[in-house]
Amino acid sequence: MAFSSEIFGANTGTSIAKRRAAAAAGELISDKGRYGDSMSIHASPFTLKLLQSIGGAGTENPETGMLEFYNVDEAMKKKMRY
Amino acid sequence: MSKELSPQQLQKLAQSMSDMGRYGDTQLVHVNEDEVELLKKIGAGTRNPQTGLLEFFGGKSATTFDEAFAVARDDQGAGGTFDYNGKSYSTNYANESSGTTSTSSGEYTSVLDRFDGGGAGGSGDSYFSGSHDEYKAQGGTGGQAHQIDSSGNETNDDRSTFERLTGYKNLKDTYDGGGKGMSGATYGHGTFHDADTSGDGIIQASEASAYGGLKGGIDGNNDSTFSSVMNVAAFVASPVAYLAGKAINTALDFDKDGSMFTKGGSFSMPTQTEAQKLANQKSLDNLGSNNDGDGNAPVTVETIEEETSDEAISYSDIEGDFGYNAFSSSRPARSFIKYDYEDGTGNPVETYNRNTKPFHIATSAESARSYALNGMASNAIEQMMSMMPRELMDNLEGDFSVHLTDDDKLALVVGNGKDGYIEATYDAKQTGYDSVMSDLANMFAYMEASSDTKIDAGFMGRVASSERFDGVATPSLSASLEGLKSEIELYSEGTPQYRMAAERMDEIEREIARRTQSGTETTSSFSIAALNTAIAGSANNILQASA
Repeated sequence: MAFSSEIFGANTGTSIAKRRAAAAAGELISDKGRYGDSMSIHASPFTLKLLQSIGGAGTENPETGMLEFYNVDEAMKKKMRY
Repeated sequence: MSKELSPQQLQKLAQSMSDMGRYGDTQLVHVNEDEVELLKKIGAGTRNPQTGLLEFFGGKSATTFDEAFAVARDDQGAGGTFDYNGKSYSTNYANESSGTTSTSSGEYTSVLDRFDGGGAGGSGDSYFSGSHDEYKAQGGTGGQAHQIDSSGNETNDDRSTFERLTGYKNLKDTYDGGGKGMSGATYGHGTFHDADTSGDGIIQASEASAYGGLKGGIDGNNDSTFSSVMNVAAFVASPVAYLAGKAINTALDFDKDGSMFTKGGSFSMPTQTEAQKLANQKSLDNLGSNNDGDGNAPVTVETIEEETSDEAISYSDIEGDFGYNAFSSSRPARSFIKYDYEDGTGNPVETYNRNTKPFHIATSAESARSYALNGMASNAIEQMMSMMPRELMDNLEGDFSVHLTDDDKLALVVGNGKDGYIEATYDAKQTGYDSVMSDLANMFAYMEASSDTKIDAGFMGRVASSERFDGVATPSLSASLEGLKSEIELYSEGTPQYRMAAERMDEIEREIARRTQSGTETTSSFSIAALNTAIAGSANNILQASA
């Protein structure tokens, strides 16, 4: 079992160096979130709809061009934090 | 990062990362932590192997339909059709296809309708793949048919999104006992309104008992910590103790069907939701078989590679005082490869049923499965720990860790290198993992209730003893002990009555030792004795129930 598998799962043919670069890139992109968005995730169309259905903004981040869902329903946030 | 990137560079980078999504993940999006917590309840929550980012494809089979519906609805609006698994489906919501306000016999009315139980067009206490009418016809309980106005909004369901997604009123409701929508003295996964005979919204211990227990809760169906443990052994991992040949008390071996503890305390700690369990299982499956050959393009972020070559991104580079340095949730399994079971020699001891104890605990590097299990359990333990008050968290000392053994069992190892460890063995299945997590949750709950944060060889015994005598005041214990001392003089030594009285006295003395911190409560022998007594009590209860 290669060391890389302990970090990213089984070998997918991508080098450790490139995986590290991707991880760093992911952090950089996540840092560009605004209004409380602090993470980046891979999302399917279904996930996007779900995020919108709970009040996510669905606007475009001006720096990254990615959709952002910071504006989740306040009541929802309150409930989740009880 | 050593320097800022331009928006154009960022967008190119984001697109490159987005292209690495799999199983239908087509976009990279910004989200906040609340949203991630919610998504974890219903989606995969795994890490993309190429980017390391979270992904929520939600499982191949279940999500594909959802995706197909969502995409077709977007493309075609109402009145369209799409194919899934060889069958044709309408893109209509229920009110659109039926033309009425009642949706109970129709299709899903919204994205949330897919998660609120009760089948398509309605809600209910449990999930159902057919229509809401079929759900009710087959005896489904709770919930109601969704009523929808001309704008597509539901008019008769004022539940929060959280409640519709999880069935629980809010996050606190998931761990306050009593199942969905209730609180109570014990736990269950499901709806147990019928158990609340007093109608006060709280399922008291007596009500739960009369109901036959709340099924599937934090403590299994037995309302008891460690109820699914198959085997328990004490061992030494400390080299000093090992070389000194320090003997550890007899390893205990128990039938896998036996319940170790009687019904006991009413600790309150969160447990995993069913969705979290599912996500965990998916995570485990995923890490174990990730050669999907999906042909995702390799990372093409040359500018970033160059700029990040000197970044500290490995775990070993993370430094700082996190307040709980004396606690470990993932002690390296290598520490346990050679340990001393009973005779100071390191040889495994044969058990009552002629099975040798698992001698070798797999290290996380041995297989993807062992790595995934250890990491997954470690994450769960850290999550539980993070919910403790800070002052308790800072005082944590010792190790909890979960490993695979070479005979394919789950081993929960609790203790520290100084006093030794107690290893509890569980079935290496999802149910076994659930039991490990439930028992761990109860241990954290014990810590919070008692402020006992020293995880040593006696810790599991203290949890057991505390649970057994929960609610009994120390003066009462002392009075009982004095009474037993008088009573035992009436019996001849060696008789069943004598043995029972002696065992009862030992049990009470251990609990008093725990409460007074006499010193014996930190030893492995304390844990073994406490667990042994509890098992005997459970066995008696089982025998009495079957008589």
